[in-house]
Amino acid sequence: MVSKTICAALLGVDAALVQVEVDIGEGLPSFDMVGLLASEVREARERVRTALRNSGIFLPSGRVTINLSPANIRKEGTGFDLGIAAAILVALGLIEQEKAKNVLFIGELGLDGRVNGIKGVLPMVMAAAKKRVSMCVVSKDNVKEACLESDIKVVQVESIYELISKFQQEEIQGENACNIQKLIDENYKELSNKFDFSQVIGQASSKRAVEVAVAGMHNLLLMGAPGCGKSLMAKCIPGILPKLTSEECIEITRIHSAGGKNEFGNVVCNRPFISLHHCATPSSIMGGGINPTPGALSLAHGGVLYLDEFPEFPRKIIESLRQPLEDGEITISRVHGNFVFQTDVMLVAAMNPCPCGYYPDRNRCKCTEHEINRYLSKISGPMLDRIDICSQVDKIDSKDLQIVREKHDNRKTQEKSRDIRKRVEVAREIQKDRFKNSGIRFNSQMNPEDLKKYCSMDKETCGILNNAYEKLGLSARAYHRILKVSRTISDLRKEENITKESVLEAISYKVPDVLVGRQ
Amino acid sequence: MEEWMYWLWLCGLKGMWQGKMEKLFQYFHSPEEIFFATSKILQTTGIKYEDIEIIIDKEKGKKELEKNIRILKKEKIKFYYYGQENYPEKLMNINKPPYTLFVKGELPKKEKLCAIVGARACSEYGKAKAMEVAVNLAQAGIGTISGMARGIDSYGHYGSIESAGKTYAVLGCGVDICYPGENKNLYEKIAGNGGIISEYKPGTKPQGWQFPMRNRIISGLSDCVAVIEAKHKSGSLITATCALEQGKDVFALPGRTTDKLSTGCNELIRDGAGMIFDGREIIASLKGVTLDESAGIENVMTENIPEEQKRVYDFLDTTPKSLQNIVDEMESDVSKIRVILMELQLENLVFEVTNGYYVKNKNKKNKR
Repeated sequence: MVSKTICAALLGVDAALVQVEVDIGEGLPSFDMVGLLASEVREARERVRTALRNSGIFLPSGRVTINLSPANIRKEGTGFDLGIAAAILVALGLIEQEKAKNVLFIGELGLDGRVNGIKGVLPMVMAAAKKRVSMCVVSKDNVKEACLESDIKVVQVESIYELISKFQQEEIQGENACNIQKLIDENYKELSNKFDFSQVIGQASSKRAVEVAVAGMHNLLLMGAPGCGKSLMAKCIPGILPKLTSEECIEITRIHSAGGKNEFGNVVCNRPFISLHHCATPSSIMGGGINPTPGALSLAHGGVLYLDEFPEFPRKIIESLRQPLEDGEITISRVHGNFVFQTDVMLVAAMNPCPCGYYPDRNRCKCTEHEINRYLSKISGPMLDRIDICSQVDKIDSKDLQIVREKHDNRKTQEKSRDIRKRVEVAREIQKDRFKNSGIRFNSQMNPEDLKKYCSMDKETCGILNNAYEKLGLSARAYHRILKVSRTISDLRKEENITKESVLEAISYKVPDVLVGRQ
Repeated sequence: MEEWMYWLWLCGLKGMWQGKMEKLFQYFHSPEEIFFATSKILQTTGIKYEDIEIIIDKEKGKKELEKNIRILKKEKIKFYYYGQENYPEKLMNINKPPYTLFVKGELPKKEKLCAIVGARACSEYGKAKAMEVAVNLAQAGIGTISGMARGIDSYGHYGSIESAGKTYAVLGCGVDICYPGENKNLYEKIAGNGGIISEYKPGTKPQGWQFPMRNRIISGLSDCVAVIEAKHKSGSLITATCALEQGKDVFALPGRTTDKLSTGCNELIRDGAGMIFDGREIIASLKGVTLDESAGIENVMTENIPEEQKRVYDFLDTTPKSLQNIVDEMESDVSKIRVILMELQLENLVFEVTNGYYVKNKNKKNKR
């Protein structure tokens, strides 16, 4: 008799269900596995056999044949071990076939029979739930993320021994479904960023720019001399990012799970903040591999992708960021299919204004105009066109840096991240309300249709915007981006209609012409 | 062969720079004589043997000459030589006058010219001032002459071109070569609005030592020299020195004593150079009128702008001020200041030089 269980193969950030079939027949003792297997799946043979023996189960001396179907999907990863072992147990009569038929098994086996966690559990569980699989069995490591899917019963096993004993019970006890919202709330309160905006001295103008950018998830470019606090400010951003919704939480955890970046089954409760060094390879950013794993760009989905020293990045990488930033997803094509990864990120970039970094302080900067132009032209116009907010980070006065407080020191205390976050949350709530059931979440994601619907303004304001469009030679995209930013500024001010002030402030955040093409 | 052809032949020879020609002309009266001189006679002048061989090789020389004539025709380059009728008179009297001149466009005629020179890596202040001075001079009918280098030179040329004034550039390479390359646009505009001048034959590549040499031509062709921004011991000061030797007035734009870029200028003023405010001093000096009579300069109308905007506008000047700086000074909200600055920018009253740094835009007409 052939015994059957279900496993899953990871395909990008999705998964396909795989049927495990085991047949134990007569003949010379052997243990064969077929079904387009990668070498790590082939190695399952040794792991399963030894794990079973060490759990006190001896295979009969006959031909054991294992087939993983459909045979046209290449199977990678170590998550098939548990499914294969379970199918063997069914074949040996230790587990009833009826009980194990519609069950997904995910886990890697240790030689002593213990079940270990693997990457990509959430996508597998989600795929199973979609196919109406009734139950899934996962290791202890993966149980948290598996519980995010509410349409399936999740069972946790730590060893083969526990697996058998659980399946011999009349009714298998499942884990409690996860209360995502509670989990997020708990983490949100706890989130204590090492970097707080109260550590950033002065820089009121940049802080405001960061606040607006975060409130609407707009792309941000910080410019300034070396050592003035660009990086510090960027590192403070996680502390003011708005709370995740449960929907977003599942989306993000799924990508991180598939990328193996959530340390075995932790739920991602905070918006990701991914900082990249400029020596990163294109495939590590965009995602790659034969069976593509999501790159840094997708791992930052729903959060922030931070590129320090922006012009140092190879031009190829900067340019290839353009399309994903615009569309919110990246498609990676391989011979055996296309893989789509979501990339709704807020891009934060930091750069110097010239090669030496001190322009326009001519006492220190010796760069010629030509050199400055060449440096700035490393970032193409189309890329700069996608930056919604451009802000200057200034040199700090020595009296502001002074650590010892004097008697009549009238320095203002710096605002805490917590307070900024409160304002961001207000704007976020307004947006949540606005985009209910529309598939988008932030002002930055609005399409031209939405802009018409949500960006109402009076005639005078409209006139100012059109005037700026003509005078500053804006592109249509820049025009729309300004509208989006002004929507966010008005949201921060809790205004129904976009006001003149919001529009003007939004225009002033635009990347200045001088950077796009001088002379 | 006509006389000009002998000249073109001579300057077309390999390695025939100013110094060698000077040596030759101590013994000969015209290039024609050199052309027909035997090697024995040439030896008496004391030039090197290799150079004599080059002069003697008539076939190669003629080939080169034909090639150069072709280039002159094709590129529409005019050729002048020392002692010719229409060779600029101003250059006849300077130290080491150039023997040959190649011109794309035209040579300056009787009009008054002011040389505008200064640093390549200039500040926003220098940039704005170079433009302003050139514009004011152009309105008074005074042209400019400079070296088409990056920075101040370029802005001086731009200022003249924008106000439809004459402007001339003296290059340190052949006139058919645009150096620096990014000034291609400017190069063509100067050729149309005045002329590009060089003592070197077409095709001569730019070399470091040729640039200080051309400064004597810049000062020679001008009636006075305005140094806009120069560091201590800057190359621009060479032009000023040449001008003094040639007996011309030197003007300098004062700057703060702490600004390195103004040190050279301030030193010039200390040593007796005229001081530039906006170019009227130069007009007054060249035209021999008083300051008040010199052309009136349009001032930006600031009466109509609202009080808040005016405060910000008045705080700004030609030195870039950062947004943070303005916010601190006005003791106001960042968003508010951003709004005001944007309004001023849309009015063309303020200009954002680089991200987050603002200056006053004095020439409202000039969109930079």
